[in-house]
Amino acid sequence: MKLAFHIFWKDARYLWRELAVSLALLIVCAWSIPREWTDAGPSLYAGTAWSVSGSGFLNGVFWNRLVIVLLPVALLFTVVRAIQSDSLVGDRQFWLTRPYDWRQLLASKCLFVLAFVNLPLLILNLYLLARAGFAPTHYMLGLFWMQWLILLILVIPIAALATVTATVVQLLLTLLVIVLYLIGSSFISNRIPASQFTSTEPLPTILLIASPLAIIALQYARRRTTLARALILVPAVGLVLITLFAPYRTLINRQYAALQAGEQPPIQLALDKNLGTWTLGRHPDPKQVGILLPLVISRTDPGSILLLKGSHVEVEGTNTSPWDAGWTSLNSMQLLPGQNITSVQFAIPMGLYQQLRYSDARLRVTLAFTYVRDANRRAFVVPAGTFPLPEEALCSAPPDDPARMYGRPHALMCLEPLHRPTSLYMTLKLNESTCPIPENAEKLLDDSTGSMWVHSSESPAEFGIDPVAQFALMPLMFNLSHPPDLASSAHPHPGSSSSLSVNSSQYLHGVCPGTPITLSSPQNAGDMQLTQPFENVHLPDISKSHWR
Amino acid sequence: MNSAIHTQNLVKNFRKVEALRGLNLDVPNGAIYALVGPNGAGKTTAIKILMNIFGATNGRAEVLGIDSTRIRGRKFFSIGYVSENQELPGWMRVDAFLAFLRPFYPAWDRELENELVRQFDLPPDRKLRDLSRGMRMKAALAGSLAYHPQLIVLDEPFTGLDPLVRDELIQGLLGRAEESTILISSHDLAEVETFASHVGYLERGELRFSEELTVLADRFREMELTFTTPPSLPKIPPESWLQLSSSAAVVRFIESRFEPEKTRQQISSIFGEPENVSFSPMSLRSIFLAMAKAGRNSTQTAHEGPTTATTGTAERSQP
Repeated sequence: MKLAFHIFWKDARYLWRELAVSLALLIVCAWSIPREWTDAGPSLYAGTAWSVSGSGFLNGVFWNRLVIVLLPVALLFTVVRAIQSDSLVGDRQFWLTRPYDWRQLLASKCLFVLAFVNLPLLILNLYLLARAGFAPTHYMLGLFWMQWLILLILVIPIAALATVTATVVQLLLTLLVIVLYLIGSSFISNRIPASQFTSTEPLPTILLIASPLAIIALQYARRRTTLARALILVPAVGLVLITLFAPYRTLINRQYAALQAGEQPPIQLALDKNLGTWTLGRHPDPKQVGILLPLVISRTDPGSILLLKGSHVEVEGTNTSPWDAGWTSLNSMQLLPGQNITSVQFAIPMGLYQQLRYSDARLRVTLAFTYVRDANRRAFVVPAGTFPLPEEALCSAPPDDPARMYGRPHALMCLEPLHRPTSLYMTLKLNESTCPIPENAEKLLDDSTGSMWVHSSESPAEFGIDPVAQFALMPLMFNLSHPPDLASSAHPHPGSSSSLSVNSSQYLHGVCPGTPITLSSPQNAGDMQLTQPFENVHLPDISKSHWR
Repeated sequence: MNSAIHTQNLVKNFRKVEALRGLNLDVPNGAIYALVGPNGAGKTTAIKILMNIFGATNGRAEVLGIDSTRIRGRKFFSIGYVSENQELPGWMRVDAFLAFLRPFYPAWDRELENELVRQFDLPPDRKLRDLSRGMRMKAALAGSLAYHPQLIVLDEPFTGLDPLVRDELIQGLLGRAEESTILISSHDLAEVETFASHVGYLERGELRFSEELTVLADRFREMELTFTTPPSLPKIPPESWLQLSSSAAVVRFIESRFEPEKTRQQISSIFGEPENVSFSPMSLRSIFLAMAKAGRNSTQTAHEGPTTATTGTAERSQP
């Protein structure tokens, strides 16, 4: 280990400029990230900080975000330089004929990463948590998990590339090739909708983790550069093959179990014929016809949330053989309580459509979805100032809420250590909002509600360098007691409320100090699929001009 | 173990190029072995295989009794390697470079290090990248001698160096010769001749000869035969005669297996009794050139299989 330290110090001396830059960026981050929690509030509404209006790219949020991006880039650059300072590629390096033990050399580089990547980031995280008002030592496990994710997702893959390249330029070119590969593979993935909501784990994760580790081990132990470079192709080819040849039907049936016979389905589907008749639309493929089926979903538990993952449609005419349109992704569309309209899209051949124009068809629609049951519901009156919410979030309802600039309702601005809430659902009766409402604002009916569901994966921490997750709780999904106004909503977005009125008044009824809200922690009740047959459907009646 | 280095049918191919074609090399313990040969002969390839910088395609090699594929880590405690194209950490100062190397070697001798720095006139506070090529070689050599290696391997250490630096390097090496075996590859035959005890001639991946320098020097002679009338040259001269030529009544050739009595008998049987026979010893450079030319001619005539050591073809010049 003594020699590992010796090589480590050599690298530290060699890379003092890079380390100084990283340290400077770290200090800037410690100053700018807390500003992000306040200044960047608008980005929670406006989508991304890069598009925040005002002084364009010169605004503070832009620079905050830039620094947050630059810090990991600088750290990774330093790691690459450290690895390439004792390059494993080539046959001219002086150290090849010195008593370097490969384990000592590898240990020195690991030490470098721990000392100059993980340790500074951990210190930054501790500081940021304290700055946000959380006790840092309570979250050590999550902080270590964050460092582990940084190692796994950023450092190890880049380190693996550094071991098979001799210079930074070579590494950048390799990264460029990888980016092109990712673009290509996402194109392939988009052509296979089932791949977007079906998990082929653990194989992809194993490939993505094992390959960089194998490359690093092989290079340090044997310096077999050609073989190590070939190993990069293993996950690349493997992931494409998995995407192309995964048995999706089997996986879907395994992941989204069908209901047992006699089991009460949590939802029921019906065709929504109230939406009227729509002219036939154009499909990108002229030999296909795009069909959009509007569906009404009724639930046994009205407080439940649905995450719609995929849909599958089979069409059978009186005189035609069954047509299987395959699975389509629904992009995890949320259906909150009160929302009951969605739609599924599919395409059928033009010939089949022409046959079905004058006769009725039988449809079999299958939905794959995640069912989330409401739980732990409690009433809450928003106090003034900062207050704790469940799952250890610290929230406030700022009177000068920047959300108002963007025409959004007043919101609860929350900070939570390590990750956003696993599941937090908020509803409020809009008329009970205590936010200042202009005199001339349109009155809402008594039972109009607004809601929002914030949820995240159940990991100890989210990936990133900021251990303080920000989220805003604001009523963005409305269930208004107005009659549907089809004329003003010619293109209702699937998943939108059953009441489709667009009334800017509801955006005034946000969450302010004194507003009573209801909070709950909906619990995942499982992934499932439900198949519903529809008899005597006349497709032209429900075909729409809309094709996404 | 009589050989510090022993290779057996060592083959190295780079794609379709045969860099080594069955190299059999023995470097005796305690020898200063000069591996000479033209560019592309395979000297650097052979040395890199010996140092386990890359592997052989076929055959095997032993260095200090250890299979060369196992030469790594601690095995380098007893090996010093310096190459003309080695990449040193240019950002380090000379003193930092030596200080960095120090903990790797249990036998590192600080006194010897200081002595070498003085002997080589190395500036301790200069960065390696700011040094001249010769200075860098001396720094590398100092870093390879200061731990009393049992084997010192130098790959083309004199290329491009001025005579003064060469001399300093050689003196530095000779200072360690008593305790080490030295393998040195070089084009600089004149320098090698001054201190090498053994020499091997490598050409197109094969070792043409390998022997003690004194024996080699005894073996090669420039022959000049004077006849009363112009003799006719034999169509197939003896294998050991290189660069056979004649000019009027004088025949010249290089005898690569000189034995006074045997050579005289050969001459008599081919030409009859010459009026005068003179022979002079050759420098290593002359021997190398003769061998290189003989090798090139044999390639040009392209009629032979793998050439065996000390063979040549006659070169005839018309009177």
